[in-house]
Amino acid sequence: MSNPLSATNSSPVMQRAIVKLVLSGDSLIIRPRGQPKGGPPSEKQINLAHLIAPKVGRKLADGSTTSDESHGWESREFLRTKLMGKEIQFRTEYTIAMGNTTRELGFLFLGDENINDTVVSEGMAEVVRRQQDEDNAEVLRLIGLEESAKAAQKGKWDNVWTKRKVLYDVEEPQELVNETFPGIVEHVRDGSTHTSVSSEPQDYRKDSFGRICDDLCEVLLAYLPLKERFRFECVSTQWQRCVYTTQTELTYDDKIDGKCIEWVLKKCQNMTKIGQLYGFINNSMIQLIVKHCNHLNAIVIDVYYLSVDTITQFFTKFATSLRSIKLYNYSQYHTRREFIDQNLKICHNLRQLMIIGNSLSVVLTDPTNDVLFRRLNTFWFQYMNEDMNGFELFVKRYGNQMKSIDATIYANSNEAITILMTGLSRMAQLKRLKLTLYIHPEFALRSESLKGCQSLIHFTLLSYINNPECGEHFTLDIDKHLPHIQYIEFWGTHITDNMFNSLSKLPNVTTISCDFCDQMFTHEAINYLVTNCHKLRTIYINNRHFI
Amino acid sequence: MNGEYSLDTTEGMAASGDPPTNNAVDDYDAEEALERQREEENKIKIKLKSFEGGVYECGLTAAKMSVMVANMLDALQETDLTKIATREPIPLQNDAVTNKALEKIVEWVDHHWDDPPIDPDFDDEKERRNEELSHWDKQFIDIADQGELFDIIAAANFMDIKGLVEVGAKHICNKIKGKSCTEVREMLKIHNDFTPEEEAAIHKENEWIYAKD
Repeated sequence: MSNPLSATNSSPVMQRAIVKLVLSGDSLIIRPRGQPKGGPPSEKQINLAHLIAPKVGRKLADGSTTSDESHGWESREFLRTKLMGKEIQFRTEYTIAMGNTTRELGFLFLGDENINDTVVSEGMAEVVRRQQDEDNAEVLRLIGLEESAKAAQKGKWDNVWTKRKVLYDVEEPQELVNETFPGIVEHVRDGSTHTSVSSEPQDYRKDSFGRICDDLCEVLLAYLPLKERFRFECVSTQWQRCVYTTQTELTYDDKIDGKCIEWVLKKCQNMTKIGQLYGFINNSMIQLIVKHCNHLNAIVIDVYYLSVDTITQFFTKFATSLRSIKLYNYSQYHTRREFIDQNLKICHNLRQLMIIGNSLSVVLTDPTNDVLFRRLNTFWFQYMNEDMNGFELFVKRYGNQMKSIDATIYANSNEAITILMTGLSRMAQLKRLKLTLYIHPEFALRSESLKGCQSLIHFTLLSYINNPECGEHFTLDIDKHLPHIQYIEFWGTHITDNMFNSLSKLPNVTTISCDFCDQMFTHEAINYLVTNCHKLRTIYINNRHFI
Repeated sequence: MNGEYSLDTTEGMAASGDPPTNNAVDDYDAEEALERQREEENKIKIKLKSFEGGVYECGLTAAKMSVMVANMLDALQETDLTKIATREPIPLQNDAVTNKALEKIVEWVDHHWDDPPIDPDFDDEKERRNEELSHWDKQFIDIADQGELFDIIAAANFMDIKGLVEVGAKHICNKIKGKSCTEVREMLKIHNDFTPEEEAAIHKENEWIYAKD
């Protein structure tokens, strides 16, 4: 009669979940893995198939109480210490209707360990004999285990009657104030309410890491480099649970190459940012990212190595969740360009956009004069003479929402530079600005031309051309035009007394950095700077290195 | 995560054609006013009571670095802040909050209460992670007695003082970097609850990290 390949057994759907609460020796509540999103996680009760464990006493809705069955507490504690907070796999065998709800019964696995088997072997539950299971191989195996447990007088077969006395209500709760009780937290209802069960003292030492709870453990291990996490996975089961959850970024510094990336993505389930990697992002890597990442919101891609199919797969999954994207080699292939533009258009939540090639043309592709990216606030672009009109249009559409701009300037006409500066100066929300100069040295950039940027706190000026006065020119009257500057950085300029004197009038400056600069200042000037800028914490000055 | 909603202020803003607004200037005045207010408030001293009963005084702004304490103070709905100072000490009901731990925590918040706030627009997690601890923090957290160290970290976690938990975390990560699992277990007194088979299996799974680049 019985078909060994009956429907429930032939297609075992393994659910992965976390054990949230152990109700008794055969029933528990599970929740989905990963960080809960947008509300508390859905949870459900599951029961161990074919088993019945001794009951634990409880308080019923009408206020009456039931008492423990013999070994009920022991059985529950066995399951609790084994599974609480752990990630398990569950395969539903059959269901039973209980009033309005359906109860799921199945086999539970902790790693490779079959928990139903373990529970029976330890004598913590009895096997239910049902007629329809007469030929069920799994049930027969469980009965075999039960017989051995009985023979060895394990658990509930030890002929000793054990039960708890439970005090549900405390008559004089005031008497308990300021007393300490060892106990087990049975159920955390919310941040400040929990049910706890007092029992014999928990055995932990104050100087042992074992006292640290999982949530805190995750935070404490958050500052480990990626590879150390893989090494430390086998410190303890707690570390195994906690060590990967806070790895949310993958960058070049992690030195993970294509062969290993799958291991990383499989274990680090909360990955949100994937930067430029050690080795190139090729088709198979993107496919792995599509397969394993569910929370991705930032990526760096070199378009050169990717097929149209791969790009489609990527954007299909991530377009709406992407907040930051950096594309390399975008303009290399005209056939692919249009295709990428179309895909980018559906990334409505983009905050940061950097396209090595021509960013301006991408955000302005829509001829309907619409703002494609309502949340865009960080923008990287290259600026040439012919970008004047494009930039004016960009400022019109996006100028008000920009918070960070990184512009590499190749333009040299006075008109183009004036348009650039006027445009930037209209960005009242701009907090960070980085200008990289590849322009003709006659052009003197002044803080005055940015005076509309009243939110600017972070400014960087890099000069890759022979332009030794650019620092002094820019800082002239800077306190009048950009009074809120906190961070200021120069690269490739002379540092002079005049420059320091101007900077010393900035009341909020905390960091001044001058790299690859010629030092032309006196000690008096630097002393003056230090005494006048009360908030100054860091001055970094590095000489020009001649190659 | 922090960045999730922080940027939504830009939403709905008509971006095309509008002249730049001058809100930024007002923002700065408001910010400076807030800073002065924080300074004034920190002159008000409140009392915190440890689990062991010790009472410690702490500036109000500094104490509010503990989100838990800030919430408790909010719940009092006291408009006259000076009255807070005369109130009963705030009890901290967690056994990690020992006298020693609370004394250290008060020292930490008193040193850090005027740290510049993190700009939600540029909350670069990676940057913050890589940032080294300041000299002061390093000396502060370099505590020989590990029980006391864990008390401080657990108490800071209980009181919800993110910055201090971060200091503790960076300290522990620095200490264990490069150590073997056995050394880490010894140092932090962790019980290895893997069977030798399980441990070998994990080791084998993660073998690739030992491969030469």
